Amino acid sequence: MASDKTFWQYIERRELARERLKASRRTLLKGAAGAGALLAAGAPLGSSRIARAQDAPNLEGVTLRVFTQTGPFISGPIKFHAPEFQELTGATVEAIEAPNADLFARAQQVAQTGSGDFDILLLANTWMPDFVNLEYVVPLQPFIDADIENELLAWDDIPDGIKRKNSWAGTTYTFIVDNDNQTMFYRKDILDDPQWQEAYNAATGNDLPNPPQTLTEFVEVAKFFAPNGGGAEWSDAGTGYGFITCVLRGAQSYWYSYPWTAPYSVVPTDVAPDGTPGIYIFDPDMNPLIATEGYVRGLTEFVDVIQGAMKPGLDADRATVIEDIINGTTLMSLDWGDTGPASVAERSVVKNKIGFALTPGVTEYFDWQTSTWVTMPDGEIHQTPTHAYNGWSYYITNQTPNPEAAWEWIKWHASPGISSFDVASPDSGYQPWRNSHATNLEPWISAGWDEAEARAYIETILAATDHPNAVFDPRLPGAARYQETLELYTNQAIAGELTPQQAMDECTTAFNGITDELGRDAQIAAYRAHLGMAS
Amino acid sequence: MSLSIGRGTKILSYIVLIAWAFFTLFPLYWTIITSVKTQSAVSAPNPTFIPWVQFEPTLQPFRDIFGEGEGYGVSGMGDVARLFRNSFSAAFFSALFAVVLGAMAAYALSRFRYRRWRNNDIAFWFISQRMMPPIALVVPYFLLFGRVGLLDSVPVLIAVYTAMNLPLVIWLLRDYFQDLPIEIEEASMVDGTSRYGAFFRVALPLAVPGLVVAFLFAFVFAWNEFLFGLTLTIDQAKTLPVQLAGNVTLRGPRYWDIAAQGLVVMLPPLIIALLVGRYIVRGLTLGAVK
Amino acid sequence: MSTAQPALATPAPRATASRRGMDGYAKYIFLLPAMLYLLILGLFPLLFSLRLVFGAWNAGQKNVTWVGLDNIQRLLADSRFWGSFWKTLSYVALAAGLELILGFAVALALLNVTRGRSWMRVAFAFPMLLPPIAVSFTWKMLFDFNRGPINYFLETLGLDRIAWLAGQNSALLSLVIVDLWQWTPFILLASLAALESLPVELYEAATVDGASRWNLLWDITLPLVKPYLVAIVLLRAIDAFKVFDTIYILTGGGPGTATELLTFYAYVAGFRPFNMGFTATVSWAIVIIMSIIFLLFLRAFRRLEEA
Repeated sequence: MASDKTFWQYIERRELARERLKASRRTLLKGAAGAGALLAAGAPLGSSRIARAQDAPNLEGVTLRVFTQTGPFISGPIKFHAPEFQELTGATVEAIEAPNADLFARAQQVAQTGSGDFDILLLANTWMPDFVNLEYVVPLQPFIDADIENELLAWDDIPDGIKRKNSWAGTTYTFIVDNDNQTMFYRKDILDDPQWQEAYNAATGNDLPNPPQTLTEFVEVAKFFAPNGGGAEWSDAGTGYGFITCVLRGAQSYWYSYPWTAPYSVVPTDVAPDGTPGIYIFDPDMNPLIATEGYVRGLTEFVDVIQGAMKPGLDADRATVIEDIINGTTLMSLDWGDTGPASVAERSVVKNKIGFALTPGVTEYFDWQTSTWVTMPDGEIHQTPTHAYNGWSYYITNQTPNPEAAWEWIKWHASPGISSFDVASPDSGYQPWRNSHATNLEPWISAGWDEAEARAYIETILAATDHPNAVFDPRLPGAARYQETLELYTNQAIAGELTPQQAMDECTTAFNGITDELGRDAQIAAYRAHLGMAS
Repeated sequence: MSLSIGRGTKILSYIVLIAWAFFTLFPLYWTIITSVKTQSAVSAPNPTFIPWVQFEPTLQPFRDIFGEGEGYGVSGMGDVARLFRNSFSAAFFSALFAVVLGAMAAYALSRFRYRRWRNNDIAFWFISQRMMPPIALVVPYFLLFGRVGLLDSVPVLIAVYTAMNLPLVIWLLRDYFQDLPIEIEEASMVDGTSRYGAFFRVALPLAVPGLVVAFLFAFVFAWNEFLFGLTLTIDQAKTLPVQLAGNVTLRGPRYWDIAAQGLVVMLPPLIIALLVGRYIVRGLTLGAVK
Repeated sequence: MSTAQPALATPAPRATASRRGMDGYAKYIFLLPAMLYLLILGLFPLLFSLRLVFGAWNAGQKNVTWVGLDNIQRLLADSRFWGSFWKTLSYVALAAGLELILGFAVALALLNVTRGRSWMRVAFAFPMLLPPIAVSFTWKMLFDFNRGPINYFLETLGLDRIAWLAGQNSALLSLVIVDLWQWTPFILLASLAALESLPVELYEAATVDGASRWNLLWDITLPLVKPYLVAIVLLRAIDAFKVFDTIYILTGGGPGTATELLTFYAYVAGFRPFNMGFTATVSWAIVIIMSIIFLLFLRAFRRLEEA
């Protein structure tokens, strides 16, 4: 029976994970006794599972309450690793969960009313300014400075892009255990297939790009491999579609428009004011950039590809995006990284068939500084890898009586060894974010990956992290309100209630209303702090 | 009413009833079978309907809820015992208080004459409280309870649910007391019992069936409540529906899991419906035809 | 929050004049606790929130600031609010109307049978007692475009799949269907009780006069139960007005704003982004709208009763 098989494989995998954890724990404890590096080399999780040089801290009797999202993908790793941490240090770690759509309201509620008593938050990176302004979270800089040589912290193993996302106004407030940049997923077996290359050429007059480099190419390919384009037979799993994205309201759908609007509307870093990367959605004076020709063109293409290449129904949520890639009915998606690990899950029919690449670029972009379209030199493509949500981020609250203990947990959970296990699992929502995740491939292989595939996946994700034109999700006070608003109007454009231009015009008005309400000068200062500009 | 009915009418009636029974029961059936499916069975291209024939049932979703889950699925519903305790205490005590306060008010409305306000107007005022949209109370509750540091506590839920159910309970019980014969109370009062004695020793015991129905109603509606649970609790007082609703986004709904969790939340109302459904139905429609 | 309440038609109280003197205090001791309780937890918080209509309390802000009429202006200028208002009215009218027709029809059918009536009555009551959140998840599975059984049935019958939760109109209709499933039983059972209480003699007389079954229904039954039906539908409409849970789970207000009904609008445009002043403003608007509609209904009802 199929289901029994799944069940036993689950058990087996769990036993394996338990064994591995036990072994690593032994290593850690022995490491504490001083045998450090030697034993670490033999640790089953690989060499990056570094033994501690100093004693594990004694946190007997301490309870750490971590506030995060309901469901296994984000809170699961906390619950899973908590017993191990308890054995190691004596501290109890609990996950307190809330529905995703209400996380921000709940966090504000807690911050503003002082109820809740959370020690640690594992929440969106984009909410940092709100928490900082409320003085609800404490800077992590002192902890990092004190532990800068610590092997669990492994500071040099953290890419600069992650460090930038962790800091706001020059101070580090968060610790990211995830990455959240968007990646292109495509069926390389189909794009490699000479038959389809020929058919594509016959239908469109162009060579089949493998993979698509620009949004224009992407749209053409997506439309061809859909029922209306004539190439729907590529899938053995039923009617094939060229593209899938999340369109359901309240299900993070607007983030899926980022890779479409950013390339046209974000200027290359070298022509940006002060050479500032990732000026997106607002200019440095908080004037919305969403109704510009560039942004609207991107949104128009997004709506167009949804109508022309995606399966009907308009009810796809994130699960559908992932499932439709791994059940072999959809050719491409632009999504957070989770599709990668899911493609090796047992139910996947596309193992080793998925290609990974940076999200497509453009050959011309709209320069909002001059209100003109700029064409890239021949052969060059303007790419702007987008970070949406910026990664699940640990915060330490000002309410905790045990900030040091909270830091110990964060440092341990984010350490190269533990994190390598979490980012490789198809059941976690964490994406690779440490440099060592690309070299320590053992957890990936034991999760079912081929080594080369895993490396390609991780390197693509890390390339987006440190890309010179990387675009981070704006971190502003009131970020949730701007996001809520952008989602509403993006969704109205997708649903056809408004044209993209109308939707973005109305959204601009709404954005300005929010900015005025929150104080324009303060918002400008905060936004510049996000961009890393001098105010 | 009963009249002799033609054959055709009867057949038509049965067809309508069978169709309605299917419409009513199929969603329940679907929830139950989904709760014993594996992820692969749920994601299969075509839905499957018959366990053992079309798919092999598993109890894994329930194992996940109760903390023996696999991998990151461990304790899929969090601290399920505490959630259950919160939901149960909130529903039980709010129903109890609503019935106590409600029985007194209902008795008063059916036995005394209020000259200045008029009984019907008072009764109408009570029922008009049910008209109040709950969302209008969310912000003030949030602020007022927040100010005194009572957010996220079960007593606050009890207080709020009591207020929510009180009008309904008063309305149900007023009808019930009106149907009780006054004569017994009067006889006992002639014998020297006070009004309070008449209420506690005569009227209340007679009204027990009505009190039970009102209690069960209040219990079920409090158990099912979501908006206040969502906005007034965080963690310590979180109720089952709020935890269940958390499954709505991120990586999309894990239906096999959600169906199992949904059944756990449905269980107490289902049990009540099965055990005392007949009385509930009577209570439900009691006032409507008066 | 949703429930079934009994109707507004009420008989006069049966007070006994002789005991008035002795009941002097008891009268108030029995009544006042419930009244005070509802004043403290109902009316007082509502009035308290009136202050916030003129204030702003936002994310990241520690205290309330005063903004005068800003919230009200924003609300009245918000096309989303007016859209939400009309959509709520359609939802309520559709749900209550269809529930009345279906509920009454099934009640008539139930009246015609004797075998199984008692268990069917209980089985039909099930949906009302179940938690709307759990019910919504059940329907989310049923409505699923690709893997849901409803579209599977449609396809088996040779029909097109329907984007239940994603179409501009179908999303609202899907919510109505869930409402029908859960709350038609209320109207069904209430009508059944009303029908069962009708005097048989009337019918016997009419049958002797040679009236057809259709005539009986139209000329005798309906006029007799009409006041009850109106009252029941009114109660249902009030509850339908407050719909929130099903939207939260099924559509999140989408696609676009297609299912942003008033309560959900207040929540999603006010509470969720932590804009307490605006939430209070929308809430007050809802209270006012509901009161007006309720009073209009009541007036119509009184006229009907007098007629």
